[in-house]
Amino acid sequence: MAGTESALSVRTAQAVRLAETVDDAVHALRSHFGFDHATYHLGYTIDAVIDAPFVKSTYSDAWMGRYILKRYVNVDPVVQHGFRRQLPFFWSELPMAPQAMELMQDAIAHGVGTEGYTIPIIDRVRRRALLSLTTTQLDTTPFRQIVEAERAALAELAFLIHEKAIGELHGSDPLPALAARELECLTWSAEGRTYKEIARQLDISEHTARAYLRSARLKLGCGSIAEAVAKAIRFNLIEENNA
Amino acid sequence: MFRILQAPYRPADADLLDQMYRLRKRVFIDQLGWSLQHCSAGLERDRYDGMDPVYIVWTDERTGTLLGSTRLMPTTGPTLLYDVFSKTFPDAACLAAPGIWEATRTCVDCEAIAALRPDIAASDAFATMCLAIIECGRAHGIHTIVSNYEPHMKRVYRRAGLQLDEIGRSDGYGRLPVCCGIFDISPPVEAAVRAKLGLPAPLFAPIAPERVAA
Repeated sequence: MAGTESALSVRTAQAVRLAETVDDAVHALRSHFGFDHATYHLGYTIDAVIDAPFVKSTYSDAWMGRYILKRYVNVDPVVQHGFRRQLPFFWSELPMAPQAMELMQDAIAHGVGTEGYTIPIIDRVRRRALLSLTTTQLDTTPFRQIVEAERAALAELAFLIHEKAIGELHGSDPLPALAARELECLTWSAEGRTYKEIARQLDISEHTARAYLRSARLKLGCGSIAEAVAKAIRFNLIEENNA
Repeated sequence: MFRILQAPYRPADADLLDQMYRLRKRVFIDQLGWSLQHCSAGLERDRYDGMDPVYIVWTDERTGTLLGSTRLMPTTGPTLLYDVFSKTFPDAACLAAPGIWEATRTCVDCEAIAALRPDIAASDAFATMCLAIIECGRAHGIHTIVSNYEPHMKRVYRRAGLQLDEIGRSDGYGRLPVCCGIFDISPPVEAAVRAKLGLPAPLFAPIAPERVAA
């Protein structure tokens, strides 16, 4: 829920945002959470086909080379399912076709991981991407626990990295248009109002106020409401109130 | 029994998807009178069904008959509600974040439930679908649901224990306006809906790996 993000996820979002490249961002995500690997994979798009898939990963170069050489992408269940699914999933939930067995054994041998968690990403123009996190531990319980505790935060981080990748490939998008309600919530927030007060002011419920602020924060690419307010003021989206 | 269907849909799910399109036709076109396009041969299927959405389906375990269904899509991608409400209600359509998903075409088959599950009161059937959405959402990092519904449904949501907030209204497709509302998915909300239904146990079985034998 907004306002209750863990310190870990806030720190990570900060590091991901400050990262100069997508490559730096996946490394930052891995080290902050203590995952063994993190990989961002931008897939085919509806409108434009990128010649080489855009993949940024902490996997070893040896594994990345082998994956391409063996054409594992054609049998990789994470890729086959990830680019069609919408809900995030643990790799152990996937149906395993016989032809993927070699890949799985090879992946374990190359230190890819014993368990993974993949977040499918989709944007307004239907570009699809995957963010995958893995552990190499035999006991996958600690990995599952941290993922389960941080599911919502990880989904936001995945989208943040996606926007960074789109920026890296196509140049950053112009400032997004915010809806009136989002701007109103930001304006009241700039005056130091709490969710409860904003909700009362606008005659909406507290969770709706939170949802507008979350949506506004995400469109502005910010990790906190305070940051989003500052950015909105800087770009003259809302007026600074001296009251 | 509740299940989540996701693309790539399995051949074995084809019959269930067909039942779902038929139920949607009966509920939204025959009963509510919505003038939805892309309806043919007794099926209600729109372009968003072609975008690999997630479906939650509720079936009778013994007969395999569909009892209810809903369609979930992440608001970071194209959504029905964005397309329907963006011109008339930009505020309603603006919500887009990884943890905010839209639920559309949520419906239950009252006749099938009366016949096959007489233990479930008609008034609880819709709330049970809502609980399924909440469980699925909580298991996947979804914190907010945006949904469309006819005005009288607000009471049904509220009775189910959900604090539904109307954020837009449009003269949509039928005799009545269509509202756009949002509700929160959180442990207290889940507890409230569960308590109203008197259902302490989860609707979904834990996800089991569906390994295909070599």
